[in-house]
Amino acid sequence: MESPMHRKMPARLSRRHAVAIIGAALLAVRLDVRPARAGSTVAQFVEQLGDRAILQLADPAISDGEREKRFRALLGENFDIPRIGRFVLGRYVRQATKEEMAEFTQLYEDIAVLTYAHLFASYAGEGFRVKREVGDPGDRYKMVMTEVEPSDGKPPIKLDWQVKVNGDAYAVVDIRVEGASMAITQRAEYTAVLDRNGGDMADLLAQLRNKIAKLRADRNSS
Amino acid sequence: MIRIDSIERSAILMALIAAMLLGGCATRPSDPDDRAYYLESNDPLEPMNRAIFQFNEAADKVVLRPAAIGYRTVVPKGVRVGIRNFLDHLSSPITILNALLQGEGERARDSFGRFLTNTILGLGGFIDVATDASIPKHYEDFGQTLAVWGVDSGPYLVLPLLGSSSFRDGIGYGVDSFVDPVGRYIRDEYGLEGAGVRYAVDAIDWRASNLQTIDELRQSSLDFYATVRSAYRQRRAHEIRNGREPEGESTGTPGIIDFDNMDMELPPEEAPTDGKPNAP
Repeated sequence: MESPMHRKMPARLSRRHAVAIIGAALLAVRLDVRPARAGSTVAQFVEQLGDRAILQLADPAISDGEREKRFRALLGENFDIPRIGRFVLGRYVRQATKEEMAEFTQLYEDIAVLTYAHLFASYAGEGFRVKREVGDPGDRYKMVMTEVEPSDGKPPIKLDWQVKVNGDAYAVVDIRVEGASMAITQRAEYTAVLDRNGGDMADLLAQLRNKIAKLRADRNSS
Repeated sequence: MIRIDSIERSAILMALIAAMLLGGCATRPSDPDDRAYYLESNDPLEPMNRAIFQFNEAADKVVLRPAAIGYRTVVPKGVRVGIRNFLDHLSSPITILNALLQGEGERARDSFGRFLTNTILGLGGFIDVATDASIPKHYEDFGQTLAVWGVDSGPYLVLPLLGSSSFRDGIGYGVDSFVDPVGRYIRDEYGLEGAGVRYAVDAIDWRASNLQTIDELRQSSLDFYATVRSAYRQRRAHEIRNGREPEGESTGTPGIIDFDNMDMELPPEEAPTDGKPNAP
C-alpha cells in the first residue's frame, strides 16, 4: 500500500525550502551555544573538574591502580559523597546506625571507583563544554549544563551537574545523563534491595561487599 | 485500505488488557513513606514485570548480546553507521506525525527537512547529510504524544522482548505500529518477515552501540531491574519534555533535587500538579 505521506512529501518541499530550514536550524544552534555567565564560578568549577578528570585519568600511560587512586582523590575532593550516600538510601536512612552509615558511604565510594575509573582509559578525545549555569544568588544548589561531544560525530550527550553551594566551596551531588539522575537511579536500586530484604541494612552492606569483591576480581582478570 | 494483521491485532489486544488491568490496580499503601515509594516506582505489577524482565535478560544473554557482538565484529563501522542512519530515516514519518500531534511545529519541520534531505542527498537515507547540515534529529512517538495530551504514564510495564514500557507507552507503541506508513509499506511488500527483519536489525544495532554501557550497568547494580525501571522512567520524562527542564522562574532553579530533605521526591513527570492524585 502506498500511503499519502509517501507520495506527497517529496513533491511539497522544494530545495529552496530545504535550504531555508537548514539556515534556520543553523541559526537556532548558534543561539543555543551561550557561554557561561561572566563570574559564574560554579560553571568554572565544573569546567575545571571536567578538564582535570580528562587530564589526570585519560592518560593511557598510567596503570589501572593509579587511575583508580586518582579517581578516588577527585571524587573525595569534588563530590559530597556523604550527602549522596544519605540520599540514595531514601527513607531507610532514618533506620541506619552511625556505623552502618559510615560503612555504606565507604562501600558506595568503592563501587563508584570500580565502576567509573576504568572508563576513562578508553577516552577517545570527546570534547567537554559547559553550556550554561542555572540558579540564583544564594541558592543552596545550582545546576551546570554541559555537553560531551563524541569524537565519532554522533549527537552530543547532555550532562547536567547539580552542585551544592556552601559559601565559596562547591561539591557535586548529582550528575544527570540525558535527564536520568544518577542519584535517583541509585536510590531506586538501594531502596529496592532494602524493600525486598525487609529493610535489613546489614544485608545490604553484605551484598555491597560481595559486589565489590566481584567487580575487583573482574577488573583484575581483564 | 485497512488490513487487520497480527501486529494490529496485538495492539488492540494490548489496549484491552491495559484497560482491564487499569481497572484492577492494587490499592495505595497508607504509610506516607510506603506511598511515596509506591508512587515513584509506580509498579503494581512488579512480580509479573520481574518475571518478564528475567526472560528478557535471558534472551539478551543468549541471543541479542551475542548477535550484537557478532554484528560489531563482522560488519564494518561505516556500514553500521549507514544501517543506523537508514533505520532512523525510516522512523522519520512517525516522528513527523507525532511532532505535529504535539504541536511541536519546529520539530516536525526539522524531521521533515531531514527526511527529504537524506532521501534526496543521502542515498535514500543511508547517509545522514542532514546532521552535517545541522538539522537536529528528533524522536517522537505516540506514547510521548499521549503524555503531552495529559495522559498519565500508568503503571510500569515490561514487555516481552521489547523491554521497559508503561501502559501509556505500550498503547502508544501499538498505535505507532498500526499507523506507521513505513511499517505498513514493509508489511505489504515483504510481509511480517520484513517487519521482523527491521525490528531485529534495529534491536541488534541498538544493543551493539550500547554494549559497554548496558554490561557495566548490569554488572555493578545490586538490583538491575530497579535500576532499569528508574532510568527508563526518567529518560521517558526527559524525552516527553523534549529535553527542556521543567521551567518555573518563580519556583527556583529547574530540576533541582533537594538533597537536604530525605522525603521521597517524585520524578518530574509523575509529580501531581493539581494536588489531587488519581482515585485508586
